[in-house]
Amino acid sequence: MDQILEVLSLFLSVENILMIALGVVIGVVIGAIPGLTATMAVALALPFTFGMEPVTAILLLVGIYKGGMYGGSITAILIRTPGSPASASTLLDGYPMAQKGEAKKALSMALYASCIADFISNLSLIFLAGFLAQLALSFGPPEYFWLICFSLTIIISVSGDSVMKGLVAAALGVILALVGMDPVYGTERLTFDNFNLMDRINFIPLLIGLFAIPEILEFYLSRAREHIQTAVAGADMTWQELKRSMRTIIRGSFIGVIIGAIPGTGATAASFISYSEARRNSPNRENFGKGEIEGVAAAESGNNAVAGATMIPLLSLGIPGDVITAIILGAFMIHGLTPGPILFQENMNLIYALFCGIMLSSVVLFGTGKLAIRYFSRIADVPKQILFPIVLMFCIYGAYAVNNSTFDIAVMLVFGLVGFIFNRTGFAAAPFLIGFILGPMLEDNFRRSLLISNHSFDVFVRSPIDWFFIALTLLSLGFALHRYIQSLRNN
Amino acid sequence: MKPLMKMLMAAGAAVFLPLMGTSAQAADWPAKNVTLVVPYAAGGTTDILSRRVADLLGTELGVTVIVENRPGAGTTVATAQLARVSKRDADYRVLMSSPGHTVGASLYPLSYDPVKDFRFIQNVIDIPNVLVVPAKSKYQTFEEFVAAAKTEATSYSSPGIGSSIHMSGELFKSKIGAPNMTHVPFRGSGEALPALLAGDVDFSFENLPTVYPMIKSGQLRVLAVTTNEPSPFLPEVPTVKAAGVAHGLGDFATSAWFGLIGSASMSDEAYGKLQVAVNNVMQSQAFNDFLPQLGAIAGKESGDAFKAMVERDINQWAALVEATGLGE
Amino acid sequence: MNNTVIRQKMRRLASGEAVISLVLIATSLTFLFYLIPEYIVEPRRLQSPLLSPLILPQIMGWMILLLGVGLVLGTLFGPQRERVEKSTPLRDLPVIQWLLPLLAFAVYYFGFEALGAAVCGVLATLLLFVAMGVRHIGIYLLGVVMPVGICLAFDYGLNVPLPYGSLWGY
Repeated sequence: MDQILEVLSLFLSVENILMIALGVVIGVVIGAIPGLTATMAVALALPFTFGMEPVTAILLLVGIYKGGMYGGSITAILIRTPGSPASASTLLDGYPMAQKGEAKKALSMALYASCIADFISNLSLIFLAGFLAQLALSFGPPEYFWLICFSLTIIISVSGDSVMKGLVAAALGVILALVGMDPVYGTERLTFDNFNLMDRINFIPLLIGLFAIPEILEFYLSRAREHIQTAVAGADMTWQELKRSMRTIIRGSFIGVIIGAIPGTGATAASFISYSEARRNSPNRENFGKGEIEGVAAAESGNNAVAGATMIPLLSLGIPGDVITAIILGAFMIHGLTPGPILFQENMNLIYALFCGIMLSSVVLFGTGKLAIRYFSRIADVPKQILFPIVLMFCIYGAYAVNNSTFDIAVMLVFGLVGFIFNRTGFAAAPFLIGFILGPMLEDNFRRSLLISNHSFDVFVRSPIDWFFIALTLLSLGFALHRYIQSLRNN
Repeated sequence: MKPLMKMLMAAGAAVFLPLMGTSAQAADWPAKNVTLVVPYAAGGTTDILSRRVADLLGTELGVTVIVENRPGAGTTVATAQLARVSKRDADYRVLMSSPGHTVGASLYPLSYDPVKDFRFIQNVIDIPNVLVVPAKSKYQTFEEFVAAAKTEATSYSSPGIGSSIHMSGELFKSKIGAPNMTHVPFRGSGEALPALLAGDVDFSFENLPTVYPMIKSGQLRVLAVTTNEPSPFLPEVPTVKAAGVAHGLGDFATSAWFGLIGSASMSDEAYGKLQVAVNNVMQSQAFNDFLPQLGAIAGKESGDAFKAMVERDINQWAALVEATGLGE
Repeated sequence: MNNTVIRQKMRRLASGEAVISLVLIATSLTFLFYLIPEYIVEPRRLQSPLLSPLILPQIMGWMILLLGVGLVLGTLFGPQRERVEKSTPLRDLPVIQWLLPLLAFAVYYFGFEALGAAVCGVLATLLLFVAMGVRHIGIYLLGVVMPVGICLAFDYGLNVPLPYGSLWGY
């Protein structure tokens, strides 16, 4: 009883509730601006938390994190500009929906999927932290290697009309991701002695370039004046549609939780895996990529479930699973707290107070999202000749602000051109993106596995987790082959 | 001048171009806001440190100290930019330098001279590295570990090539002569730590603040610290230097340091005033309260001593990189 | 094979799809036999050939080559597939409509540090408005206010200062 009172006294304060709300709002707004990611928002808010109570400070940052995860989907749906990397899969179906005049429907689905996933993620944080932390520790380089092999099979489901072209795009993505200094030997790969390329091509400008810029180019270069269509926000989502997508949302949430709990894979991969699984299991498979509401549900549940789960390795082991949790770890340390088993022993009340706040943040996220949809969905009504110059301005500012570098503006423009050529020649941008993200991870973990095992291949089958992912990979490939043969027969 | 004014003037400045751009006189330094460049992305340890220092330094100087993140190529992108800063800006731009500066000098093709092109103001913060092994490791003491490492195949993790953690490992390897020691690079400590905790790698020279919670909870065992003196946080743990004299480690000392540097064309006026201001910050209660939270200690080297330290490090890493064939 | 079949195959080869595949083949060959040997450095001390930084790029290069060949064969012998043209073709574009956007991109890239973010934003936005023939004067006003306002918001609200413009002395 005393403990409950103490927890409540730690948690129930005006500042805490205010900061959660403020955090979520800041997160949604910054997350919605292309180039400004949740990571940046959390980093920029950190100095302001120095003077706060520890619980308040951390709740503010967690609020921003969650808001940012959701906020990225708004612009992804409305203007094909993923506000954050994790919402790149949201636009695959969200933007076609907006073009069909179903912007509001897509935004609502994104919000419901995000909040449900967020809630499930929080529950796993509270009840399964110990188990998932152990799971995270049993992931060594070989297990990551197989997990990534499995993840690569999603290229098949996001390739659009031609799997061959999807594979080409993915291979190009891998090659571009390898530009820079070799992580094992420090030698140069395809840097052309350019300083700016030594640290790999910056991901955020590439992302904005690949998706947002082609849309703008297309508008200006294809005699667009004749085919301006004023998309309207349209009708809201129905309960029927939510019910239909529920399985997908729950599946996506669990994928997100597991990926989130394992450090170093990230929300982008989680949302793509969730998307791919949803497509495979959906009766509307053919409609994916053309404005299927389940696609939005899958992508958003996948990426939002990551947020709560990344707190698991942070709180229970003291390991930050991604950059954002690394910053939150910094916030803990600034306040003289060190996350890990010790925190659970010595500061249980604080942990419970944090849990209360994190639960509350899901509710606040829902309310904020509702409001955001009401105002943001009007973007869909703005005529494109006014909207696009402003979008371009945001893209440029955002691309620059990531690293304060004009080179990144060039990166964005170049990949804008690449995306444009892709669009015109029937290549999908999503496989390129997946190759870009997963290619280096595949190589890194392959080499790490050989390094830790002294070049022995036995390491790749050292645990049941390896076999599990090998089986999943084979199943996934087998399934794709099966479908391909079926489609040949039907023709 | 207020940023708002700057912005408005910039926006409408085309007409007044020739009238503007007179440089501030050094005598009334600081006449405008000072920019502190952080050569890493927002959110890392360096960034957190720098923002705190910028905060305190701003109060001390009476102007705003703006933090600008400019990551890339192991800090050398930001450093190159500082080296070619215009004379007008030289007094108002400082950089939070780190081991990336000294390691980068031999790992990256530089467009600047890492010593001559800069003025070294003050080493502000030192973060010690510690030699840690997983709890279930068979090595109980530093002595046992060194003896085994000389012959057995061992591996160590680092958050990336060229980091102070990686270089500590390379230096250790070359000093004790351990041909079978393998470096396993990860991307960031968040990825490296699980491999260490699970025993996939045998040891690491991690930053103390990163692994402190795991040492406390018994998931990791600390065998030695890499600084010259024992750490106040781990008073009973020996230094590599003291414990390893017999193994040729008598001069082994590495740490992650963070110090302020300016461009070579910074005026004496600005340089002197900055040194005083930084010194005052380092004496302040706020600074000394926040250091232990990061497991850090105040840097000691100032001015020429700082420069000498950087020079020594550059030479040390250059010799090591040469010997190990890194980057070739 | 009679003449009509050959002519038909020739026509398919000249189609857009086949050209794309040929470009892919050419690119992958350049990559494999020029870029990789010239611009990827093989480390001096390689513990095992499987750890070489050359391996993954080589696999990817060969993969693109094979897929390129596959795509050519597909256009030649596969079922004729009509690709749905999703967008209007690029022709008959009034000069103003492609030149001004191009100029806007150039302003952003070349002027960003010299002119400053706000000035570039205003210039480029106005250029793009003109390109699309926006007539409403209020919109042009918006094109001036927006960039300046956003720059201020980045600076004050977010603490992310964008360049003020080195030409103006900052």
